[in-house]
Amino acid sequence: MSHTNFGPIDWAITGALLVGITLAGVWFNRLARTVETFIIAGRKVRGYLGVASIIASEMGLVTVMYAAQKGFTGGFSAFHIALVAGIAALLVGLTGFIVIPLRKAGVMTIPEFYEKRFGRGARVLGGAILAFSGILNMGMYLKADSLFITALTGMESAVHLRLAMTIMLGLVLVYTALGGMISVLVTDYLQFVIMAVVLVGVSILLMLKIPWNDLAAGVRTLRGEAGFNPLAEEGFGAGYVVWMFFLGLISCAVWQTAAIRASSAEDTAAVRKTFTWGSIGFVIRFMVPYFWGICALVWIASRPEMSAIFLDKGASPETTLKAMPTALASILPTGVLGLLMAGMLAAAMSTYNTYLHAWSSVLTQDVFGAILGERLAQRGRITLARVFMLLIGVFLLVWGLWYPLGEDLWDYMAVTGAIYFTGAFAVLAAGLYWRRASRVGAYASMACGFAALTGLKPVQNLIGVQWRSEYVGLATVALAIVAMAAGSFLAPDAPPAEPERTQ
Amino acid sequence: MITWETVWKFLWYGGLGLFAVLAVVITIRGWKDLKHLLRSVHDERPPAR
Repeated sequence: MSHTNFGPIDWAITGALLVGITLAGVWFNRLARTVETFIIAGRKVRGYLGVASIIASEMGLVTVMYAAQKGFTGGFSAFHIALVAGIAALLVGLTGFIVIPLRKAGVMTIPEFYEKRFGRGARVLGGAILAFSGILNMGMYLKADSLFITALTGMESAVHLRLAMTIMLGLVLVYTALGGMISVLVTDYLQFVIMAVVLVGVSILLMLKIPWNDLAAGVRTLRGEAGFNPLAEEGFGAGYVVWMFFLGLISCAVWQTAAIRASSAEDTAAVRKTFTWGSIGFVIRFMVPYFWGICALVWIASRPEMSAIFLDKGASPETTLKAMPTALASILPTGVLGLLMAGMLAAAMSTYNTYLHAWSSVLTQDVFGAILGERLAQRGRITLARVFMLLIGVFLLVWGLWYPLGEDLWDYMAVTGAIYFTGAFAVLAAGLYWRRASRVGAYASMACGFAALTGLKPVQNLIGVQWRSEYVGLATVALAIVAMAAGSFLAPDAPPAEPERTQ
Repeated sequence: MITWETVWKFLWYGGLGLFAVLAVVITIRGWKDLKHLLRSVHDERPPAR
């Protein structure tokens, strides 16, 4: 077992946070009385609360883990991902690309827009693809989170770990299912405050322990020029940078959990403020964990017993994932570790509640609600959303924690997300900005998203190719755009019938 | 000459500093927004019989 400074005080801080946030979430459940309040908080969310909520929910513990791993393996050049994500969010905020027309359309979910523009079938298909992609994507969160908790606390018993994660997910389920968007916003706000203190505080402590010049020298020795230059082909390369920019655009304009912030906003000015100021959050959510990963790299390299494990050429992705929490457990003192755990659990919970809420809303409103129509009453919809939350929660436990997945988690997550967002980008952009976009084009474009599956290594092995995932992703986006254009030109929608004249 | 290291150093210190300031602003203004939201949603509830 590796050394850890995590002690009883840290457990007490962690427990207090879990209880406090859950009580706050449950307390506000009494306000969720209508579907609109449950799903989009009655469209009364103002700008600053929107910024807090979007930063809290888009920075999960899983983000911290994968980003820290990128910093550990890629060095400072990983910072480019944070930079292009921030630029993309700023562009969305300043121009209102997709999010403003979406807000003006008055929809609660993205598939609801599909129905307005392309008909009910597009909504059901789009909703089903979105939920399928999103729930599979979310299925890996508990896995990454459990690695963080194990490494930080030194907890070795798998049973204890599974129990702890089950309890945490159970608490989130209780307040999200009861309170809907109101509880999500209240708890997101609290979680934002805790996370902000932890992100800035831990970073300052790390800077005091390992000065910048030592970090730069360490990265130069261990990673060479590729540790600084993102365009170096032995590192990330230009194709990867372009792919990251596109992902940045997607994560704030097309991904349902971010786009729902536009739907919940009080007006278009609040939408612009949320995304413009949120862009700093989009930079920070990656850059801070990259920095922690780089600190872990340099710290571990100076300790032969640790570098033999983590810097070995054959080290598995699971090992490098644990590098950051393992290093921090040694670097940070008792008490600070409790705050770090509290901040990261806050990050995890705010992501879980948002995603549980988002995917259950999509299934309720866009798949079953669209099929059943008026036969599904308001109370029935809220009950159905709660049932879906419970089912998704059960799936998360089985798939992410109890089921031993044998493939690379990052590839799995990127591909599952791309099934939805590659097609959705073309459908949304064309649907909002191109009058000739047709129903057939939308269906073809959505179907193209499944081409992203070829980014998975097992699928590549099956068809005997070796493609870099960024090229597969960009090619799928291009394919979806071409499919939208071709479908719209070849099979345009019938013009609306002339209204009958009355004498 | 501007090197990649200079760019990342500027981004790190600038980004973290800006976030620290922004976090304080969001905490204060976000609290007001949250109170407004809760009050509005509460007022919309049908009167108790």
